[in-house]
Amino acid sequence: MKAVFDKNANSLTVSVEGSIDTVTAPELDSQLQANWEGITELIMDLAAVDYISSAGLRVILMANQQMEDCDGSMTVRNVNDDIKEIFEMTGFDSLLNLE
Amino acid sequence: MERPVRHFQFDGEAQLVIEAVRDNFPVLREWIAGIADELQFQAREKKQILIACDEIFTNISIYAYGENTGKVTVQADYFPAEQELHIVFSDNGIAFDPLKSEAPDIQSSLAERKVGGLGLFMVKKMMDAVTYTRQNDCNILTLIKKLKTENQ
Repeated sequence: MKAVFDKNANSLTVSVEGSIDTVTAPELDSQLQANWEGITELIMDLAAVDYISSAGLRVILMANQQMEDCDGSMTVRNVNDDIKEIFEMTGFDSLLNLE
Repeated sequence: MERPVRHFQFDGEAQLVIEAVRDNFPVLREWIAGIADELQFQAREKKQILIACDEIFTNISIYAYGENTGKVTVQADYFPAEQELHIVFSDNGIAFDPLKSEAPDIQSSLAERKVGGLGLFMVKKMMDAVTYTRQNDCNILTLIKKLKTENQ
């Protein structure tokens, strides 16, 4: 898993590559936390994500919650078919702002 | 007569035996990914198998041995007549039947949502069958995934 962070004032775009699994999800979480300060708009770009397990879903959920808590917004962008299927299966499609 | 089976070895051993800690997951993932490729599972099915293995391995790592750590044994067999891959996880941690865990409420709001239980829910959705037995103080969980041919 590789995450690229692009910070622009209070907006943060995170482009994730590879799989978000039991080992890489905590890594993504700590990288997010390190870039969190002052952010009110979070964009997660999942175009290059291979698969995501529940540990990864947990990180996305926490990020979304954290944005809501600070009256910010989170958008999940470029969701491929396999990830979309997982979001639909778990009801995440109706909880997240997908673009 | 026993049904035909193709047994997959791990590094010359009959099974993969590793410490059940989350950081060891890549060892299991690489082995199972190789088996899925060899059996020519389609990309979507291969990902489903890897996710299911992730969930079960994580569960054992976190819960089976409490504060301590212990081993998990994973065996992989392919049954050509049924076109089924069976991945069998065994540990001798505390008795736990994940099939009896409650399904998460996927209609609940994000704030109310607990992610716990979601992993096992995904496993049950993504596999063709999941079985659990407790034998000789061991938890034995089997994931079963059918290999689909192109026109299925």
